[in-house]
Amino acid sequence: MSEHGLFGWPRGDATSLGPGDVGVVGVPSDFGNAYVSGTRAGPEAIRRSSAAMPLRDVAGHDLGDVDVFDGADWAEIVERTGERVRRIAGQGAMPLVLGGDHAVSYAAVSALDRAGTFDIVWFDAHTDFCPWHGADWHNHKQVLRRIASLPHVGRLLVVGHRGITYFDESLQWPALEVVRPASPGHAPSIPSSWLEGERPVYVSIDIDVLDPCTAPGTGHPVPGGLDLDTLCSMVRSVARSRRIVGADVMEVNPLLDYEAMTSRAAAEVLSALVRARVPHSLPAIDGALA
Amino acid sequence: MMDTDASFSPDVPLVLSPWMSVEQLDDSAATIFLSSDGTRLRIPRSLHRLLLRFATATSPHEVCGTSDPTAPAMRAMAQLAAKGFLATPGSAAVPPARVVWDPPVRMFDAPAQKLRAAQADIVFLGMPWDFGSYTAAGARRGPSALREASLQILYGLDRLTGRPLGWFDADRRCPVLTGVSLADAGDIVVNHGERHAAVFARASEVLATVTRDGALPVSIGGDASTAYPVIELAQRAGPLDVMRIGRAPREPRAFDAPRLTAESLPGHALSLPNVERYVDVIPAVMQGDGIDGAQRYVRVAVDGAVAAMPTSQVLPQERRRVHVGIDIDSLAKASDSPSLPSHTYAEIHALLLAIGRSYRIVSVDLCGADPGVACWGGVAMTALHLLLTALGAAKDPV
Repeated sequence: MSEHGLFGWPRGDATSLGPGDVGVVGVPSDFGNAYVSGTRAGPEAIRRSSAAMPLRDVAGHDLGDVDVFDGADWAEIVERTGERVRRIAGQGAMPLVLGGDHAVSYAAVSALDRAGTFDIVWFDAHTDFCPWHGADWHNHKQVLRRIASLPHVGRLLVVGHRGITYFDESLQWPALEVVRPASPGHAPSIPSSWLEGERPVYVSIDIDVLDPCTAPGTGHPVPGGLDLDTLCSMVRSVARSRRIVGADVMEVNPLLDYEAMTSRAAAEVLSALVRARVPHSLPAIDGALA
Repeated sequence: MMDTDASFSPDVPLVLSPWMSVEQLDDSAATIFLSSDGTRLRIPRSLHRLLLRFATATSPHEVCGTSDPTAPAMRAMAQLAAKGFLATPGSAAVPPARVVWDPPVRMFDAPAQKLRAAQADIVFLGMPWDFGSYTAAGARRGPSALREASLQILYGLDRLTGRPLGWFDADRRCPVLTGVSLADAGDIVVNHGERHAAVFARASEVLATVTRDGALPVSIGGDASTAYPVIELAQRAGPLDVMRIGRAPREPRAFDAPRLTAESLPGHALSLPNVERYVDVIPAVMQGDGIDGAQRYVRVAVDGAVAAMPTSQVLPQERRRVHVGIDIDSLAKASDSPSLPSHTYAEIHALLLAIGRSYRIVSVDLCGADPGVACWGGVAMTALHLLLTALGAAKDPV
């Protein structure tokens, strides 16, 4: 594990964080992806790539990785991740989670249940809204459906959905809005209604929202995706206009990457997000855990 | 050659095929296997006992104790003979060559297609052959690797009606291939050191067999030369244009090469009696030859030429028959050097839809799939998206 954390931020624990800071936690789990492994190495690869782009103008601490490979089942991974996220939020800081497969996002979003109602902006080639048949399975294909059912989650926006799917996935949930390109290779835009309002948002970035020519290191690439500049621009506009309650980047798979293109893209989009974000202290939502 | 039916008559002796073996046996049932074509059957143990009585040439009448062709045992023997487990004495001494391998997974998880006329609308055949181009080393593993990648977008059937569900193109917001059935005939057998002509003749024969009832053939290569058998088959039914999307160099001399290679494919295709025109669609940054309706071979840069493909004078109701090929190696990928001309997904997606509107797509090939290249995952999914787009353009053009 590298000596410094994401963007050269110091390693530390939650007590190192102050209000408005960024608290990083890695979740090296690909438990939710039965097709291909490798996102377990995502957090470290993103940290490594971020070393070339230090952020000295943003305060942050890297709390390291959640233990995953001690035989833990997904429920324990969710619980361990949730505990770290609560500790970060308890300091008034913003949790920034490095995956891992996208199933990990559920842990972060569900742990922020004391932040009041917030919306979700989900950058992804897929809607991650596959049927969820019960409590026994948890995976990256149905994670947004589970998140949508959380009582503290308001509206959901999926940006970048595309390609060949089984059916029209945009019609699955009343609060789900899907924006897609006008045609392959043409970038969609964030609806203006999502760039205003007091309610905070959680931003989740599945790196497969990018075109495979930009981010080849991911398990389920879909052609016709966004370029990195467009994604960074969209993330900036959300971060400048809405209060960010938490964020993550998921599905970076270094085993499938080419010359670290994907982990570097992940670091760049996170850099865009934390620099554009208006620093703020989250409400004291869980002081007991701090 | 592809029909395995032994002539069946209650009084004509039959013998067990030497290619039959028993894979599993218990008190109630047996699983029997025919290595000559990969057929597996699970049969009752009582039927297996009767079958073993054909170890020496014996008439079904003797084994079943009746000449009544409607008797259950007699009907079962007729079926086993039809599938090749029973053969005419002497004929089975000549080993029936295995012509295809059953893949461990099938394209999009569609049903397997045996060596008979497919009832499906579209049938896939793998061509694990990469001797046709020095630069295609590794492409022999393309068919298997594409099948494995295709399991991310599975073929589905309505559980009550059996009607194919098709897919949904989220970019165009429309269904694709709804009601269109698929089947996978496996991979052509390529024996070590076998002659080129023998492999391609086998492919032609298999393609002719499985498409006899009208299925649209899709060849999965392999290097670009593997497109030849499916083009040859398609032109048998009438005048045909060929449009192949790739990175064809300007090497017209290669066309005259006496042997079929990836480079000489246009010349060999144009020497077929019904191939009227061959269009190589090359990346936008490459210099095309312009569109000349009089030329039988033309290289067209993809930019701006999509709507002006050389059929503009053809009325829609007279849509020409076309074979469409896609060389996966020419698709843009993350590991490309900036100077390498490549096709973008968006360009080819639009081009395929345009071809479907102007032409009648009667056959397809997808070649140049090398799972050993960097960024294979993205390449494979791009190729599979374009394959489904091409098939949609063939079956439900809009």
